[in-house]
Amino acid sequence: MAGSARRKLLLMGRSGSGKSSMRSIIFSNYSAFDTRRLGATIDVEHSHLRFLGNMTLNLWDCGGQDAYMDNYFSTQRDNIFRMVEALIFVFDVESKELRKDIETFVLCLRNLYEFSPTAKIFALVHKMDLVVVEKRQDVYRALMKSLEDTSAMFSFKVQGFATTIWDESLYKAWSSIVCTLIPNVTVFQRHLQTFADISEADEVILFEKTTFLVISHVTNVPSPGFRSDSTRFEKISNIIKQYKQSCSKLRAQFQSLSLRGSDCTAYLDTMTANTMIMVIMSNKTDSRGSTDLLGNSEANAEGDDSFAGEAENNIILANIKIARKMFEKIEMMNPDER
Amino acid sequence: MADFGGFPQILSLFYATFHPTEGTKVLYQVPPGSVVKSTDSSAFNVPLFDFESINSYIIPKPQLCNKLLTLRVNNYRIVSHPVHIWGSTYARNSFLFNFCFVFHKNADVSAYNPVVRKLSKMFQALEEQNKFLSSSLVNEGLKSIVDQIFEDLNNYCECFIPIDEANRINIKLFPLHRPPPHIKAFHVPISTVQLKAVMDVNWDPTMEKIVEFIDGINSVRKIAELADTDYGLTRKCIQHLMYYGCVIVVDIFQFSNSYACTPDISALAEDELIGEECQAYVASPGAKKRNVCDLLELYCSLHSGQTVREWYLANREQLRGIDIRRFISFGIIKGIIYRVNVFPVLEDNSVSAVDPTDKRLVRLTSKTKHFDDICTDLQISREQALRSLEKYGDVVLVLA
Amino acid sequence: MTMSADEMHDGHTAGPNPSPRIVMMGLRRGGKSSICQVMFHNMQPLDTLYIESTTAPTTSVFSSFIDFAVMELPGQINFTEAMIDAERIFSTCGALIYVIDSQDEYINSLANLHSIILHAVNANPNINIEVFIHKVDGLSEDFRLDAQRDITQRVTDELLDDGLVNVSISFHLTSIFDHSIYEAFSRVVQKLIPQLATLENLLNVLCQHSGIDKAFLFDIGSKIFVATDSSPMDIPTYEICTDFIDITVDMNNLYAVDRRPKTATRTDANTITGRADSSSNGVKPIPQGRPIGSTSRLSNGVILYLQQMVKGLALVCLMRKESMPKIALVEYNIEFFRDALEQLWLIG
Repeated sequence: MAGSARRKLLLMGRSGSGKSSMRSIIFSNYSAFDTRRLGATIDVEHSHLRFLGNMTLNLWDCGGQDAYMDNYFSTQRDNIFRMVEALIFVFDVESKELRKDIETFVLCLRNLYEFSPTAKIFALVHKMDLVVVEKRQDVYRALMKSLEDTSAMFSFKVQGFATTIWDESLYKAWSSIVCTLIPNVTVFQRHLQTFADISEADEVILFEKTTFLVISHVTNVPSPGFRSDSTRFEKISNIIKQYKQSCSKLRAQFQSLSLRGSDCTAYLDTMTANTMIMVIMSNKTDSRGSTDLLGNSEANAEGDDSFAGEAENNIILANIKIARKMFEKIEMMNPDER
Repeated sequence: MADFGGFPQILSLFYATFHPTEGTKVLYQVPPGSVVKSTDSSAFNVPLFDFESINSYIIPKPQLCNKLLTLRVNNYRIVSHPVHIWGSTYARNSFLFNFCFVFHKNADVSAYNPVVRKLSKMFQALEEQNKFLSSSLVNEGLKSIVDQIFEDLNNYCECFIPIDEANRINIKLFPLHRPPPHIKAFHVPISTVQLKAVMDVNWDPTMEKIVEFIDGINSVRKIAELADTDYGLTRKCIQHLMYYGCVIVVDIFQFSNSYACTPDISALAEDELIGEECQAYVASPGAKKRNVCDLLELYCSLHSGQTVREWYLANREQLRGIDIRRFISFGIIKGIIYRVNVFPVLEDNSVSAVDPTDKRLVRLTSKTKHFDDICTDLQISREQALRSLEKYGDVVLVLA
Repeated sequence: MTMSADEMHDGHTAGPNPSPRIVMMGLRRGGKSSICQVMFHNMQPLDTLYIESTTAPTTSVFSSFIDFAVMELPGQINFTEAMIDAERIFSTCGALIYVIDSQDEYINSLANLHSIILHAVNANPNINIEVFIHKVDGLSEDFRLDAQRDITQRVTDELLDDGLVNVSISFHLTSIFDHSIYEAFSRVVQKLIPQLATLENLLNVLCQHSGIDKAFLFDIGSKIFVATDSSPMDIPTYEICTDFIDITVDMNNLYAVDRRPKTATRTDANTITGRADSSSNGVKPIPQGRPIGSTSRLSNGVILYLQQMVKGLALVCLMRKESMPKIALVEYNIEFFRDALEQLWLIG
């Protein structure tokens, strides 16, 4: 049996930059609207989150007030900066003291260099919704340039994201961050690819159940006309998260979702206790989609294949059931195995 | 009256709040420089303690707020009551503040606890009503209030500050005694001060009625009967008198009681003052004072197997000129003898009585009450009680 | 953009598909434009803060199942001279929505309403007056009920004073930040659909024979529900159905093949309804892929089932999980329901 990997994440940034709001949306099911009600974080808020069977995220949400920051870099230095797996530094795009924020960032890097030199560095340029659309790219690039230069001084590589709580960009950033921390993410990727190949699916996505962050995804066929929206993964996270909130109003959780769309069939179901899987197959009017379990072909009336996907659905369900055991084993794997 | 050495001095008083960008900061402190560095000319050179190390307990997480919080840091004890007010009108949806009192680490701060609590609640109300604390960053009014509380409490142990037309601070320090023990109906109060002399027209009417019956002989129940007052109220009055040290409470004196010495009997031998007091107190009116050795011998001759009657008969010669009741009372009050209680226990506990009084009797014995208690409760004599019990089987008498 | 008087009669536009007409009035900054934008143009509620004041009467023609037009009269107009014009409009209206800002002093608003009602009832005795007590998201629960009670009392009293007893008037508490605006609008529209009784009957029959607990017929674009079966309705159920529609549509659009020219905006109602643009009337829709449907299982044994119907309508049902094994039968029944709907609109 595996020991579980504990990952300490530092969430730092100036006061009011949006750290606690992000945390509550991703990990506590708040809606963006609800975050208005949050109060200031007093000192450090610790949260322990089980993420997959073999990983626990230890999130340190550090209050950004001056009094606390002074503490972090003096008396609490080794407590804060030791054994850090990842630093997530939040920059408020509206900040009037950007110079000071970057200095604080540098201080963090310096301390990490001393106490946790293998930590991964992430920078979130947050509250992008407050910037005019045309200027967003420039603002982001300008800030990232200085951050990349400063990180290089400590031989850190910083990865940046432009985020806002009002759209799906938040999910993209956090999915990427968490994925780098999953000990055996390549194993997931490999098995997901196999699953996709066997199911002849166009796209398969693996989500973590509570946060709905994307663990891994496989795209098999970039079919012509398939709307290749590169932000679709985080959009799905966002959509489903909202659905979860709606369901909770009825005091229930959703277990599965099957979509017979205009051009695709999608199926979202539980994979393991900690993950959900989404399988997307595009509608093809050739014979592929119409073979039922017994191997009989059904003639597809032109344009009227509303219910022809039923057999397909059942096959996907069966495949998921079989794959479940395998994925459960991967989750429980020793973090050091590959 | 409990020995009261005076209230401890407040070494420093400060007001801290949570600023949305700066975090916990001390806005006002008196004396200047005592908590954080100050540029004031009269300020301390070095603060009393390192504020930074404890700032997360001065403005703590919401779970610790709205409660009395006491910290020990170095040689100091800080008593505080942090307040957390939620409100969407505030930046970050909340307003946090704390008034803190700093004492020496060994000070007995029990008298200040209610004061700190009251101050916090009052400022909370002021803030909720008209944003008294949060409306301006520099609040001269608040600064002078803090100064004045510090001065007045240290010098006069009380403080009265009008804040505006509707609000004022009115604090007085009271010594906090331990709460009085429970008084039973069979206890007998003995006054230690001249109650009639201390009494005035403002006293409680029940109190006025019962005072004349507090003579060291009547039990609480008897007093209530004689004074024609409600038993519950009488008992409360006696408890109040006990709290302030005006009466002490002993058992009913009966010749059938037994007493025995406590280890403190040596106090009579060693302490001259007690000895003299004893001589004066126990002598019968008009009789000569006995010397302390005789009295000591008499006390030591009390033991648990013997009732007072038996003891008296055995020592009649030596007891000439001594008031027995006072002799026993003195011993009890000074703690040099103790009352041996008799607990009747039914051998067969599961017996069920038919008669209602008997039922109650059996129930009381099963709760291990001693005879005094039982008799006072049921208003019967000891013999009656014993006889009734023996109807139900063997009775064992336990002496303790 | 107003239609001429002779085109209209009986509160509906003339022509092969008579569309009910709704006029929206109220004092300025009451929220009329916000309501229209959120309901019919898919604007996010928070973005409505940036809408400018309406200066001229604006009509949103909403074409889906019944093509109704919502005409918004600006709040600043001079009432006396506009009244003459307005009377012409009232005579052709099925419903008058009056929007009151509940966060503001509403005495003036009520006085205005009263004079409007007088004119409206004069011009068209059959008109439905619907009062939206709007922006209630800022009020506490007790306050809302108080406001509703107060306004209802005042208005009905004034009408009684004037001897008007047969006015059909209803009051709704609304806010664009939750589902109440959709629900209120649904009720307004339902009163104007002549086919309502038939639809309800159809739904009842469907529910009885298919083990469906509750069924709604929604308009996908505006999330107004056109009809529901006779079983009791509660608001959380309605809300989750509207959310379910949103989710289904959003998910579908992520993977939908892009068939429209690149200039198309986010008004995705058109993609789903299958109409290339809103002006075509009675023309067979261009095939846009198969009709959308989705099913979701909830942990409390409830199944949500959505199936796109004709003309931008969708059937949303709630079933128990025990019905799932017989889903093929249910879908068979739904096919019949869809055929019935088609016939209903061909006749109508």
